[in-house]
Amino acid sequence: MAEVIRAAACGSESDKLELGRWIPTTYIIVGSAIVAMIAIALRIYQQMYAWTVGLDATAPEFQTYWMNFLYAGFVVEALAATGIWGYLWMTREKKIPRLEAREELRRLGVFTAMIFVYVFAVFWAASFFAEQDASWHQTVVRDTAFTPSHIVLFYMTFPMYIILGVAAYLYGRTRLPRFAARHSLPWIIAVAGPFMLLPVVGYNEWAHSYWILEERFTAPVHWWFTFFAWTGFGLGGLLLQACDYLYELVTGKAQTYTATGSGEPQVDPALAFEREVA
Amino acid sequence: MAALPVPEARPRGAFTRPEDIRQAYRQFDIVIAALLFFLFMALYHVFWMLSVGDWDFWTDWKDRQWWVFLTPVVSIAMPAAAQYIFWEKFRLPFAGTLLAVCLVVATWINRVMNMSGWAYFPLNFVWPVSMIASGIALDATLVLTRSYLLMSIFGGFFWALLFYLANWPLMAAFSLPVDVNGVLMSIADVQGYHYIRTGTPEYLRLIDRGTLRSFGQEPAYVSVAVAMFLSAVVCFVFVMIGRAFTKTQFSWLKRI
Repeated sequence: MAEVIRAAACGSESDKLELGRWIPTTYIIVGSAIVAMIAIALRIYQQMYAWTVGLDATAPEFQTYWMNFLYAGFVVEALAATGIWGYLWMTREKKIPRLEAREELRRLGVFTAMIFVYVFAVFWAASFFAEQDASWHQTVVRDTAFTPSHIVLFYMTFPMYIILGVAAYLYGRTRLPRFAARHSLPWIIAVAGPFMLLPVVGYNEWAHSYWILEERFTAPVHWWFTFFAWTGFGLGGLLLQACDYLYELVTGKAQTYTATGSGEPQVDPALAFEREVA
Repeated sequence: MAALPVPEARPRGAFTRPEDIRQAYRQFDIVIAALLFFLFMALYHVFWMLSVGDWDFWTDWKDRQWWVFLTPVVSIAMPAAAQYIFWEKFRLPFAGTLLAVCLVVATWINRVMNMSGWAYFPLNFVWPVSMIASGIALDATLVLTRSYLLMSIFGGFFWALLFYLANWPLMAAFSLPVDVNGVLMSIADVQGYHYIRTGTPEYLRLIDRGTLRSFGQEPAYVSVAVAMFLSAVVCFVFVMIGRAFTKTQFSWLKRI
């Protein structure tokens, strides 16, 4: 049915393609597949080496298989962050011109795809590997901060979603006129909140080192993770903004913030009215 | 690069035909629906595991005092907040069910892949509970009453009540008494003794203590009743927190 509607609505084959794919599903599929492959590879590595050489942090084989794995992960993350963030920053338009609605919609589609991949990476970190950490610590006595579950959870999957989240934020700030003209507070919350889970890791390790060695997953030590998990709701606010943005781009019926050549935002009458009411 | 002139209004939208616009919205809906599924699997699961997770991980933690009381009271927070956002902004009355489904999928993936597949606990020791019945009740009360207050009162009541009723068939078999060398234990206790969690202080602990056993089944009903009242309170409080998340002006932040 969708194909029929598209065929009726569009005159040419290229229009049909563009219409049906303003959100590039290829980006979503490929991006999510890369994230999934990394996560599954990490999980297989754990299955192979966690119980065999990951139980004693003082053993030489622990250094070989886990600490060196951790250091290699740091290098890869640094390179990935530098490459992805650097590419987005260096290829930005320093002064975003007035865009055609279709081009702006295409960019909004890429932005949506990047958020999707970011959320998919958050799922692997916050759900899959987080509870896996419980299964490890409730079974194995904690003798180091760098356990086989922590190395993957805190120092590999956390940086993975942070890299993707910041990349999506950079894309919005440098490509989309509305997000370039002003900061989106819900979007900042949705990126910075999960990012704050990484500093909380430091507090978690400190507390486990000096206070609670044994594991109880609902211990107060862990409640900061819960607090920052709530910041993911910031994506709800971003969704509302995206709906408004999409409506404007699709129908052309609303004029909103636009980055101009002088750097001054252009305010539309509707938003001006909203400000007055507030 | 010279800046282009800024027109007063956008000359035209990306699409002009209603069918095109509908198709664009439809693709957005599909992508966002999938995105929200992964988002709530992550958010609700991490919130769940770090607030009531221990009671959900093991059968011997599923006692008649804290499991029955704490799990519904704490776990209603996030569905309540999501309920406000979904209903107020999109008129979608299924946030409770959605989050419950996301949670049960996420927890089952973990119990199979990690608790059982990695830590090698048997699945009948680490199975997760389901909040789907509670979520449906929460959504149904919202649809029927169209009031956040009434949803919190009656939906909160049903949330806690149905949590216990819906999961009792899963738990009942593990609560059966068994004589082990002259000591009265439950099947769940025996599981806890056989599959030792050496990283926890509970690996030699009887969760159901003496008074709970001597009162028979009554403590469970008392716990359910308390949980019902507290779930209603927590639900309303977190509906208001959901409201805070939908604010767009943040004038208080500017004042700070």
